[in-house]
Amino acid sequence: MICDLRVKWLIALSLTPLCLSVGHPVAADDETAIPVFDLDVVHVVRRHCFKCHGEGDSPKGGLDLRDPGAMRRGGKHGPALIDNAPLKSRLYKRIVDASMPPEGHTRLTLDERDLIRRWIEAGAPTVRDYDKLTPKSQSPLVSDDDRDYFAWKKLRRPEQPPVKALDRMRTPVDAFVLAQLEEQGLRFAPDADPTTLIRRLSFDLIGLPPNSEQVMAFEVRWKNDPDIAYRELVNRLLHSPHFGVRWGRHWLDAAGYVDVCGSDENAPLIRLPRGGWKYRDYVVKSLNDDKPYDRFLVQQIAGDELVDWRNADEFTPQVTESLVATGFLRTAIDDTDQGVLDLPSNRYAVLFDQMEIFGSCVLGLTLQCAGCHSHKFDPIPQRDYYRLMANFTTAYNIEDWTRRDRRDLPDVSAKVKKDIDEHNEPLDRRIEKLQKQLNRLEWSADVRLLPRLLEKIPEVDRKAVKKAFGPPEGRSAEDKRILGNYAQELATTEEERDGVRTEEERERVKQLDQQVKQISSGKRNHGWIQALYDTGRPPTTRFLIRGEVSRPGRPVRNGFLAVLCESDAAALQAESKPVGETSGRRLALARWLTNPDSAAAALAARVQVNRVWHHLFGRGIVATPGNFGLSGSGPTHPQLLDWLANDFVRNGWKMKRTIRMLVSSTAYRQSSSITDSAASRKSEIGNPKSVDPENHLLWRMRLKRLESEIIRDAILCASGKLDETRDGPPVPIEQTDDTIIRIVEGDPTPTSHFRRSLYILSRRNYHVPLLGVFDPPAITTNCTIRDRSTVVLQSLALLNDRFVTTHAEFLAQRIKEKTGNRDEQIRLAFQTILSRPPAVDELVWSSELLNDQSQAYAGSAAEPPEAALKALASLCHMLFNSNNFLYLE
Amino acid sequence: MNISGLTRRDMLRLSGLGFGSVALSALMQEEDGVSASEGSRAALSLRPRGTHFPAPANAVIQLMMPGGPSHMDLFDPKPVLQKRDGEVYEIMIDAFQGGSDPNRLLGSPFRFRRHGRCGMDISEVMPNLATVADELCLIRSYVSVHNNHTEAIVNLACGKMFIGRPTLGAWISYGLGTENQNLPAFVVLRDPDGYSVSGGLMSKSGWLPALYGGTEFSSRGPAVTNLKPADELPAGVQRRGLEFLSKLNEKHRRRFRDESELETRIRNYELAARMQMSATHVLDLSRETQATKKLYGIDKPQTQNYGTRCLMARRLIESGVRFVQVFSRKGQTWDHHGGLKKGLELECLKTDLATAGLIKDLKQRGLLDSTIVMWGGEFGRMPVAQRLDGRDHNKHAGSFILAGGGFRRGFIYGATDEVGYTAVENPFSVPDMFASILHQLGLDHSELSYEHAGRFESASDDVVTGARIHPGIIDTPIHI
Repeated sequence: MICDLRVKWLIALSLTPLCLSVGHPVAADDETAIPVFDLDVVHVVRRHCFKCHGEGDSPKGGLDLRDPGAMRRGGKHGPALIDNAPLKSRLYKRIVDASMPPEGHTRLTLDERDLIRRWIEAGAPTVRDYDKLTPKSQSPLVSDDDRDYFAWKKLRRPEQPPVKALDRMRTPVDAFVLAQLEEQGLRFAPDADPTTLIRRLSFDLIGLPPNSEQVMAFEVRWKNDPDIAYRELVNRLLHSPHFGVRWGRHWLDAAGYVDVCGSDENAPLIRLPRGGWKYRDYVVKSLNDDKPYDRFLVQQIAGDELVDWRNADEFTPQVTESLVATGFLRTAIDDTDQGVLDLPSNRYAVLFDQMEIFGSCVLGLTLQCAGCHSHKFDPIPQRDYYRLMANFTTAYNIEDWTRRDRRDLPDVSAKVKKDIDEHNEPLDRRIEKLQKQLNRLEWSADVRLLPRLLEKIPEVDRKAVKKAFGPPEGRSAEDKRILGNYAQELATTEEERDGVRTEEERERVKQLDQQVKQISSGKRNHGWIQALYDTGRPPTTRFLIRGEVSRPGRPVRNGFLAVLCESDAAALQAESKPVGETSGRRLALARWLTNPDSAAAALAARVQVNRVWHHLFGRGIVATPGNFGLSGSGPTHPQLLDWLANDFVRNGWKMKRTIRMLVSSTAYRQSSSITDSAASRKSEIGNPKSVDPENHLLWRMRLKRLESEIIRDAILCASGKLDETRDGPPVPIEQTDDTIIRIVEGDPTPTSHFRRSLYILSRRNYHVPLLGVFDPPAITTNCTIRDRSTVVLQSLALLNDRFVTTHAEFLAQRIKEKTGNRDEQIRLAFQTILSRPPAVDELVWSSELLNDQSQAYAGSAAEPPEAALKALASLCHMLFNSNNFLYLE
Repeated sequence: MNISGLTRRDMLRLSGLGFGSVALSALMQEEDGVSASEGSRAALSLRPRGTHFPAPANAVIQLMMPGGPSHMDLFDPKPVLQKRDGEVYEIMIDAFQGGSDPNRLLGSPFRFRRHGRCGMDISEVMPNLATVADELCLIRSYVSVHNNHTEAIVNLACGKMFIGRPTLGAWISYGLGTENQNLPAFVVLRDPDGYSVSGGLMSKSGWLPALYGGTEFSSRGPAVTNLKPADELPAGVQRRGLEFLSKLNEKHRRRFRDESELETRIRNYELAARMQMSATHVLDLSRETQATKKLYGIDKPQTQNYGTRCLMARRLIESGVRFVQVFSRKGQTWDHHGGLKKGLELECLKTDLATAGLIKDLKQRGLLDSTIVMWGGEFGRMPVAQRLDGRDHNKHAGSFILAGGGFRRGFIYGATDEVGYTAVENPFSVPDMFASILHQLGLDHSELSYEHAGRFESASDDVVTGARIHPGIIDTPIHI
């Protein structure tokens, strides 16, 4: 028996080791201090008192000690409990003076006595009162000193620093970057040339190269007025529908989105959640529409609490969109639909993973550490982790869990769904009837085939199998078991069955099939949404001692992270006015995150503008986009980061606005070549290579390697085969016999395998080879920064993968159709693949290559025209392999 | 340090795909470890690097037996357990799954006999491994940290229970580089029918650069994806293409002289070309004699699958690959919660011959002294019955084999209690294993470190894990 009772959270929780020598000084959890009746006191009282004061029909002295209310009412001697006054409470007094429990019974231990005293002092709380408890006597777990760190501060608008090189100022961004450069005696590299810029912008904004006409047109306009030409280009690209495809992938990485569900550890088994891809399309559309980021977040965290979808007559586009958006919180690995894996530990695992994704994606925090212990670096007490978690437990309800396969929502309202079901029900019944007849016919053919089938079965079992092989509807459990053992041997194909049928039977089968098809076509259908929504009553969320599921501790209230609130108390002001029957906890969370005056919104905005910066400049202002905490890398340009975050929030959280500003800056438009930047420093004091060897200060643009998907998309674009269809279910992939994953060709449309990589079915562990070697995100939870490895399998893939060679041939064909002139062909190949014409020496080398390869192909029996075409394909193929293609300058 | 019949130098000459002689000699210099930037271990390179101190071993083959092989049925005979078979054990067993009540002891269905000059007890179900008893260092006090597969596998892979740490193979490639620049340093050979339950977890580089992670070779069909052109090319076409590419890339690089990544990529094209030759050569099992194939059971259907991987492992090690990870079969086939006897018989039938064959073969080629062979799973099993004839997971005790590489031969280390529930003598944890293996490779487990998230993390994280070398299992400890 193979069983893997995954308790993944235990591992996933702590990427940072448990024990670190350095640590943030935070106190132990304060919520352990106050005892509550249901959790602590009841055990003591039950053990010592219930026998006389509770369990019988008539408690002694009329005193029932089974709950605090009864204690307060008391018995014939008066109340046993007076809140906050242990020495006036008979419950405590009688224990202390040793008159209770009576002689001969076990006495309470000192600890037990102390527990009861502390409980009464605190006002005798029960779990229900717990939320009201505020430990007054204790200092807050998060102090104002803790809040004194760039990431936890509220937004402010830093002054733009003065700079010397005023001629290099294009946007406020430049002031901040330049000021830091000038401080070190450095300056910007010269602007990159227009050819480089259009390629850089195209890849950065839409993830596709410009075609040669676009490059030429841009160069012409550039000659007239570079600034206008540049602005127009930026606008065109920001309005391209491919913008959302490009930037959608960035967000989906951070959200941990893949098309499959579960841990995806079985190569041949692909499980798709119904309608999961709608979330991907939502992201693409939101980015294309330039949906304000605050709204984008609110929808994804609490879309279901913005609309009354439960009682809607019909789902308006707004309702559907709000529900689809919550797919953001459905990305964690969830195997609870695998029967045996629906354990509390796995439920928690899902919740923990989802928290981790939320934390690193939205807040740039490594929250997972605080699941087991207060964060070692950041002022996040373990308490705050569980407070935050309590916002999610209404939907990921540990006690009232909805298994993964049972929680998809129909994409129509409950009312419409009912209509559809009512419409389909009689049709289904008719189909069932026909199906029975079909089964019967199948069986009767199988009976004729049986003697042949039996030969495949060991002799000892043949008799039993034969006996069990009665009409399908009359089989006993034992029959089914026997036949089940040989399911494979007994399976027959339609063809085999037709072979033994009479003409009449064949006709009948055909007729029945036809009928089933016809009735089915009359059925009404609906799709599904992977939404997140509250289920059942809000459960009590419990603190887990050392993060262990088996050690639930005190209940916690839903709340926020104290470090991002004005005070400890403010962190519990977590209420909202949701629409419909829902707790509103996530809506409160979302509002907190997007309230421009909160430190939380400041952090969320910093994280988001930094993400944008990271993708445009190759490295974030904070180089660890998923970790803004003290263990992450601090900002290289703290003032700039704050200025950008503030500008972002104050101007409506518009991502396109920020992107436009960044790409318009001189910082972005610099050359990336070391020769260009070296030339510029002739009269400088500072040598950038010695002052800032890692180029943290941006004295030139950084070289960026194209990402896995973009390499494929760029090749498709160059070959002219790109199918620009957007949206819809993912393009299927399959595993071939030799264990290699391939895109299924021609399904569902003839060119769907040429669609952009975003639409190719994405898995956690298994990728199409070309995509797999160029560091796709390995999504166990999510990915806030991709690897950038340089391994030999990448070279092998570009050299030998059939996709690359095939598309090199497509491109060669395209070029040949345009021109027969060899130099012109070379020029077109360079233009299409590298967005630039060949230099003189490159033209010579290419020409030689074409000559040599033509001869080689001609020598191997190809006709001269075909040989020339193959030689041209070889040139294109090598250009696809070049560093010039792979790296964005 | 190269031991194969074909040296790296030969290989380069053989595979000379027409790069200029200057490039070739530059490469050969690099092959000999003479390189300008030598010294920095953090450098992104697989060049061979010096050890911390001289050591006997230079390579590792990890034979991974996922699921948790049962020690008391294979390597750790327990007379008390046999005698008390069926009795209720007075010590309450910390069961992981249901079905283990009522704490009833389960004797082994197998008999043990002493083998070799050393007289090591090995179960009758492993008749072949028994023949190399004198080569084995049998650890009977192996302990894990968790009773669930995934956690325990991560622990075995990384030395700690945290996903995201580098695996042993990654640490070793990082620490030593590789002897053969024509092949990856760390190669993974899994059952072509499917992954083990751990998926790719056991070969990840974690936060070490991806370069040091395992590269999967296939033991069926083409060994390396995209090793060869999709369609055969006429002679010279690829070479001329690559020459053109190299001119183009060189020119490009002049504008980005300080970007080492561009240079690495140029080198990788040269490596790719060499690999097309050498990987094919290395993995061409048809060059092996009939006798060798028989030794690994490649001639029989039941042993062919795993045997092929064992033989591939030897050929890879022989060619200078540093770490080869071999998975026994897909899934977690050593996980016998029920049907213990039949299950173990099947597993041993499939793997016992080739495991023994590998050790014999390494020995006869003089490779065993320099190659560490690891055999084992993520934990041991329980002395009490589960579902009548099965055993539950046991993190408290198990057996693990380390052979070759200067570990003591024909030696039993550590012991469990009377029924095999807990390791009572010399408990041997995974971090201890890391420390001891790294020591045999000349690497200091606490010195071998990498900066991660603001902290220097060492391979064994001994400050936290308490990892220590066990001198008792080492022939001649050098540096403890």
